[in-house]
Amino acid sequence: MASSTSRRDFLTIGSGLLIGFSLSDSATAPQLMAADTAPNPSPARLDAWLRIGVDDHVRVFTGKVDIGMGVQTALMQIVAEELDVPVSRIELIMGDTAATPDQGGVGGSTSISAGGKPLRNAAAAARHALLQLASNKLGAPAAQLDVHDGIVSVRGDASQKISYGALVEGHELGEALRVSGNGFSLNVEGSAKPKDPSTYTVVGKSVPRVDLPPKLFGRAIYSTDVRVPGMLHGRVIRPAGAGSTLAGVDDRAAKKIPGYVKTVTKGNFVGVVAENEWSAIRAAGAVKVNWSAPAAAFPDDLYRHMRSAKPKASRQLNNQGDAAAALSRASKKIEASYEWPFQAHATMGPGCAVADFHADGVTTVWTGAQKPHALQKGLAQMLGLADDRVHVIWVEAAGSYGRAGDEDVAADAALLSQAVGKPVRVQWSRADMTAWGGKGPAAIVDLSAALNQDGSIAAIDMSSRAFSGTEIIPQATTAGNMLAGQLIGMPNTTAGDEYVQWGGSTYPYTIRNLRCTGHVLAALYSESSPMRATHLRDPNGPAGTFASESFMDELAAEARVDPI
Amino acid sequence: MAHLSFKINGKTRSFDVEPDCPLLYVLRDNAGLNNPRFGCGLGQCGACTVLVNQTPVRSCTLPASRAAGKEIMTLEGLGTPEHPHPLQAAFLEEQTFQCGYCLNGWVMAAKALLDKHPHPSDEEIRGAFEGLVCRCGSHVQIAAAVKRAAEMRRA
Repeated sequence: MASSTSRRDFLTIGSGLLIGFSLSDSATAPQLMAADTAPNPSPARLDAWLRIGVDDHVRVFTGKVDIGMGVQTALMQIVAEELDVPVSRIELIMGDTAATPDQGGVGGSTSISAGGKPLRNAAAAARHALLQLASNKLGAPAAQLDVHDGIVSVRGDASQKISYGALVEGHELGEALRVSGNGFSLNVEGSAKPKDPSTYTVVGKSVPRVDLPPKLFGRAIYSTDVRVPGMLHGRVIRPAGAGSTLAGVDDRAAKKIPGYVKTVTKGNFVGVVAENEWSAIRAAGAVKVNWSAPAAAFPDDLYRHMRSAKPKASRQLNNQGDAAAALSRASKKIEASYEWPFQAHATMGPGCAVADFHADGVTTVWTGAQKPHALQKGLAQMLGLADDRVHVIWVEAAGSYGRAGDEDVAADAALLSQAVGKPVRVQWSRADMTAWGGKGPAAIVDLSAALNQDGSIAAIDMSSRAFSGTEIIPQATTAGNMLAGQLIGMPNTTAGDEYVQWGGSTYPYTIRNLRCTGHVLAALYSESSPMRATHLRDPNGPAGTFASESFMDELAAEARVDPI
Repeated sequence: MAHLSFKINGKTRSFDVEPDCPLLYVLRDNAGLNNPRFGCGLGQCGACTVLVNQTPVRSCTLPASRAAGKEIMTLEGLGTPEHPHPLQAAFLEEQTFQCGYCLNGWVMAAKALLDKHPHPSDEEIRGAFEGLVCRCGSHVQIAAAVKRAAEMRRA
């Protein structure tokens, strides 16, 4: 493992575009770094995306992360293709706010289609620059050069060759990149065009997942495995219910537990810190906390509440033909209602994060959150620090999608580390995760269909009432967007009326007479709620898909045809 | 606090730990091993599975005192890239798993199964995996990998 000095040098090295590095300086291993600030690298520099080492290894930097889908392998293929190097020679650094450009994290299944673009273009620019260097070195025009496995050779004279690593030694190459878009749409372009896809030999081929061998040999590092010197263990104690406020803490019993360090309270945030994990668990159980009664009980009948509540936003999402008229004169009419509950993400591993707070200098947070650059801003606001004083390092976690809890636990760890002045690791329990992690929003979908005599569909009327899937905004850019932030009194920054804004609650089939209406309901609780609704897998989709596909089965049964 | 000794992956290790501390935390925090993994802390998901005297157990609910003096095997003790256990080779060939967080439990349970039944039936495979959870849905490839590993050991 590298020393903090070499890590720092690696991250702050000058303005050159292609810089040699040593593989002993591993940027992928979580480690402390000693620096005053940790700004985001500018995407306008080629070396923000790609560096070639004198040992021929290629280091690639991306703001994308991998939450179980395997995009790291695919992104490496894209670079391998453009550079003509084997996938095995590429090292991918993902989601490090001080080392990778802000690509908006991952979401919407866009990591390859959009997120791969700047990597492809950067690799093409690098290849072009390397061929220019090789042309000078080998005395042959660039058009006469071939590249195979990172070795540039003169066509027709295989003895005339040089490796990428040898080419970059002692060189700084000065091509800047044109930047367009931001977040998911961030793109860069150099003067060179990427390859014609018809010539691809690596992209489009199935290659083994690069993450599997370390996982199978017990050597992979997940966010749960980050250990830093002097690290303590924290646990959080949540309110009795939404809107409960802290009335008193009795930590006398906890203080007797060996390894106990401190009970931390800030507003309605309560946590304990101990020297080891088991002591933290026991101490959290031993602290007696008095909470005021919850602000409001959970509705006795959720769906009755959802039907009677006045929507905060409504929208006609589709209105083609005349569904009302077709339904009123239908020879056969089928109706069904589908009720979709709140659902816990229930990821395999509950959220876990390590934070190392420094009032002067850089606060580092290791997390499995899927949008690290957004989290950097939210944590900075919560801690009262400038953005570039917070360094978020993504480390792989159990597979997830949406705001399952990784951002929230990172905020917990940051608050506890701030309170004790030492690095703190917080591992959520299964109960923390199920009770307080973001929930997939509950929804009701009412469907009516008019059937023709032959069983074909004459009209569909679809009406949905749902909580917004963006009660917790996907990007954790504000402190009030996170549970810990809300508990210490930061204003709740809940966001969009997703169910009508994104149009996902429409019928997925083409129907001549179609009417779809969406209603968004106000959140059940406005602050520090266990029912904060967020994306669960597909944004906005599962409830509508469940309803419309189930309804199609009903219609098919009525028409006595196979629904598929 | 008690001074407890364990034989972990062939080496004797001793730690001062609370006797009721689950073995999971001793292995992770005292022994510095990353597998077993914490999934639920309730013995309900299997991510924390280790072999204690060759038997798969959920380390998150086993008090350390009850594992003291026993032989404990974790994923780290199974094989290396240079000398992979047939299960590791088979899981790689099948490209099983997505996020891999649950992987530890399946591989360790499979190890115990193959040690007992070198050529397990589908039923025996299902039985050995009872109580293990995978959220990515890799179950079909997991079963295929176990069968492949059994074949590799036969060869």
